[in-house]
Amino acid sequence: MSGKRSGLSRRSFLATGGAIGGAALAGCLTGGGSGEETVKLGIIEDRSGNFALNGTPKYNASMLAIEELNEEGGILGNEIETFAPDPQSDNQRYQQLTRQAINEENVDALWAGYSSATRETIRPIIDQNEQLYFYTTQYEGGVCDSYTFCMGATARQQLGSVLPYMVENFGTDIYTIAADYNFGQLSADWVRVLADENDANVIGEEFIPLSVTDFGSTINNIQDADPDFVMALLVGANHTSFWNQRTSAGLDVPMGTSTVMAQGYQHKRLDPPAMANVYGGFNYMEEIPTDRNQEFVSRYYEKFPDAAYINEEAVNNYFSIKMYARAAEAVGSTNQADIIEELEKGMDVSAPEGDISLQGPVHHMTHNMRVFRCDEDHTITVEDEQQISEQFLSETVGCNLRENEETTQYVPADYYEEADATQE
Amino acid sequence: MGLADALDRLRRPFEGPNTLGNGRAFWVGFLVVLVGLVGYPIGFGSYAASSAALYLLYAILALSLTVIWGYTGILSFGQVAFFGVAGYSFALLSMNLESALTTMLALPVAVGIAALAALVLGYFMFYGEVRDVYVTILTLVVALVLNTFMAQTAGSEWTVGSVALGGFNGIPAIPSLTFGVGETAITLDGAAFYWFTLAALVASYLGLRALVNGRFGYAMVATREDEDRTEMLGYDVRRVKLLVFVLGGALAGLSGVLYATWGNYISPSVFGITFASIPVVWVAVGGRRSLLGAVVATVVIEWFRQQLSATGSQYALIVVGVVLLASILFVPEGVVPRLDAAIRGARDRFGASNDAPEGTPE
Amino acid sequence: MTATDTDIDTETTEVSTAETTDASETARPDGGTPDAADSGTTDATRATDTSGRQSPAVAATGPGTDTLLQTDGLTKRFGGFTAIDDVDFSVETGELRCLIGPNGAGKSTLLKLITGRHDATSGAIYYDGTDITTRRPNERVDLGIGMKFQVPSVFDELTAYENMRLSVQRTHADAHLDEAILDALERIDLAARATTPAGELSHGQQGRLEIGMAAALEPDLLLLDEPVAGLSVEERNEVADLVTELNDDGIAFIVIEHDIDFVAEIAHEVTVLHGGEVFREGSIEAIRDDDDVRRIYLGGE
Repeated sequence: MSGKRSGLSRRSFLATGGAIGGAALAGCLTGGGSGEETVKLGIIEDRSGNFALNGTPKYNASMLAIEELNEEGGILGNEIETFAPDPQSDNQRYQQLTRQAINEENVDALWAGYSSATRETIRPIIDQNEQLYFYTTQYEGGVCDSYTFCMGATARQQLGSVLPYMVENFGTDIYTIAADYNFGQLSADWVRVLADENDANVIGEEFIPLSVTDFGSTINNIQDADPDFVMALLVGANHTSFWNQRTSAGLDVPMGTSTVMAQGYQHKRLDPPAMANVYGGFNYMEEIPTDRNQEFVSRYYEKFPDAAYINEEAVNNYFSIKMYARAAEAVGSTNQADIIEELEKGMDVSAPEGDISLQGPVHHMTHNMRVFRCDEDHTITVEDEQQISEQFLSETVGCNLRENEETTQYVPADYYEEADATQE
Repeated sequence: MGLADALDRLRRPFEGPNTLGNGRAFWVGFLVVLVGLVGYPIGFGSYAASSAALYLLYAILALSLTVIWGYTGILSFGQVAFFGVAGYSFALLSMNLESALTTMLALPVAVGIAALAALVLGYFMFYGEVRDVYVTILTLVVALVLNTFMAQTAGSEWTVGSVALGGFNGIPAIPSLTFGVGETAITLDGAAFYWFTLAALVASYLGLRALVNGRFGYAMVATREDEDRTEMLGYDVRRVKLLVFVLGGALAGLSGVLYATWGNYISPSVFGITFASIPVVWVAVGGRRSLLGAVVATVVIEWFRQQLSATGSQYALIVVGVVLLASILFVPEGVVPRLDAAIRGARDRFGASNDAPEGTPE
Repeated sequence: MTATDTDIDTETTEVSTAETTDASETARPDGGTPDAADSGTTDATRATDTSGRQSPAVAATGPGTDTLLQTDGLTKRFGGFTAIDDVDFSVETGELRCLIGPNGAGKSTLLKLITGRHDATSGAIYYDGTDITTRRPNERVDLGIGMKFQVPSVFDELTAYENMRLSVQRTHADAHLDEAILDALERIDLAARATTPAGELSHGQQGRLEIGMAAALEPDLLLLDEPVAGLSVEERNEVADLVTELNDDGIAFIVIEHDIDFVAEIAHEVTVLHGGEVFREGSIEAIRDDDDVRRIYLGGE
């Protein structure tokens, strides 16, 4: 009993004592972050558990970016080190590892988390410690946080690219099916807002729990409603069974999405024609035919020959790490407050998806959005392309992190009548 | 002689056959470890203390299961339900009523709500004559139902007062525990939170020691061994089980509030099947009939899991599973009781001191 | 129901008093159930008893009467099988009644009905002035009924001391607890084995411990289900002594036993159960000599 306790103490003593000693010294010199000699980045991505499929490419792409930077001399002449544990898709693990990254490892910048739930779990820790944090998954939007930079496309950006295209090409009657949790419900709210802006109507809405694998009744409902197109905001492994089921049922109404294919590469995992006639609005898919992207793709597979797919958030990790490096070089140090200030001036970024830019005051990206079409052979083609900026925070809410310190997440229901579910 | 006698009398109510560790040597060791634990933040800093505080509050959850399972024979997979109910209650109370006073009061009120939930569920189970294995299934179902329900509270309509339940995303920015009002208020973060949690753990441990070694403790153990026989001695076993279950719910609730104020966050994953099973692992490995075993096993296992994930190991969960299997196969009574028996055996063989208790160790 | 000699107007107490003085002589050759006279109720009063709470039958037990326990038309069915069939059975304060009969007669079932382990299908049980038919087992214990099971059921892993504590702590405050426990162990001659786990005691010692634990609850009625089964002659005598001693202190007993010598040693009165019904009642001598009883035992003792 006592024996076990002192074992715990001894180990922690060495690790923590050393870290404290080192940090104390470093603290005197730089006033934050690690010592001058190294740059340490925290990469906390799921490589096991529920989100392993989505987290592993993010980890891979991060390592690729860091390797490429190190090959060219690192950041400020220093080699980049990493603290890259596996949080096992467990939010409690994320809490502990985030604290460890900040307090013990003293990371200069942190990339962490796949799901919005994870982001919300660790954001209080981030804010409390004033840690520079990059969240790189597509998400529902609305996070106006002084320390958080959201690199993924927001629901409004994604739906804003695919929905108008669908209305223009197929008609104005929309049926929404969405995963029954935060992201799905908020995305459905945005569908209503965008429908209103494009003179279209949501004629039906269905929320499906994440555990459901049988879509029989949903398919019947869609057939009864007979919409011009369906917005399918499905998430997770269980919802993958929808695609084969709708094909077997002969349901051939076109479907728009902001979730499937670019994250979970269903078009590679399922046999054709499961994903036929599906249109996705994303900032990135591996199949983008530009030279720049194809070069990036080959570099990725050279480092990770056994990798399954490059998903959209992996690329968000990749370019944001490089963006951070540029900001650090511009500032001349790894001081986090200075780097945040530098980033808030805005920045143009050359990413595999194209030329995009950071909207400084809102910490979000203007993305090069494309409408991707998946045909009967599961070939991906680009149907439409446009730059879409983040609008909700910058125009509707009026978030300006250059002038105000904030750590809030805003929801569309508070700003748009159409989005407010209590008004139904 | 006076001081030694006085100390002996002091430790009497905490000793008995129902707990390991009786006698002076044990208590001296206990005090030494306690001093070490109190000094931990001073030696290793605020962050280390904060990490350790998580293990200590989990140990309270483990104690809640030990007292109902190891001592009274009720295997509940639903302790996390009370853990989560208290955590959510604390969040909703303290964030709606936003003042230092209410944050202080929110702690006991949230624990009270968890105890009430245990009272209701326990009443229906024990007074409804639900049998053993069905109690286990029912408690698990309650936790899973809460998981599913809370996970779908994402919409804007799921708001209590000014606080959104948040669905999958949970409730962030839960205030830390604060004591005192106005200028002199102390917010418990870092080392302060660690000491508070340590105090709660020690108080729970000692309180339970006194309980299980007293008359009610005997009724609990008898109920576990043979309910019919116990009834024939005049005990209302339904009432015994209900009271113990409420106590377990309150302890789990205390742990839940501490958890919510540790990470300033709570989400439906506290009701999920993984977290629901973990206390059973802690208690089974540590020795379910041993309060000390529960505490030690929890701290060691959770520290170990953290280390595994920090080194990027993909096999963390598998390792935990193997540890559980191995302990059930080879050390079914638990690691700490086995160690205790070994120490006792070694002592007997070398004919050492007479610190053995009056009864036999459980 | 049965023809009795009891006059309709006879005082119940008078009848019971008469019964106790010639308890050894009440074997009835006609095989009728004598319990109407024994219990002190009359046909007339029973006929008007519509199982209201304060029925006269209840009033027939408890303070002011000598009857401690009475069953009234007690019946227990398990599915299609009737284990106890319309039994009127009673025991007096301080009596030592033995219950015998061939296997399957329903003896254990009757005891379990009295303690509350089984719920009666129909009929009633009255104890010390209270209708206990629907009372839970632990409530009946509080009222003064104790039981020693057929299978030894002490708490194996607890010591004799700790086992006894479970009983004694129900009637003693913490201050005198230790003393009272040791006293109780003394009474059953197990003080020397106080720290031995009950599972390691001999069969006989376990039986004594159980009886001692039941007695420590200060009951008025103790039910023993085959207390000397499998014991040596010496152990059997020890149990007989213990039971007699407790009985002298005022505890009534209902003892199920097959060992007729043991029964002869301790019983005031014997009830023979057969096929779920009361077959005979009387002194042990009378029962021993009864041909019908011998027959139902298939030429037994």
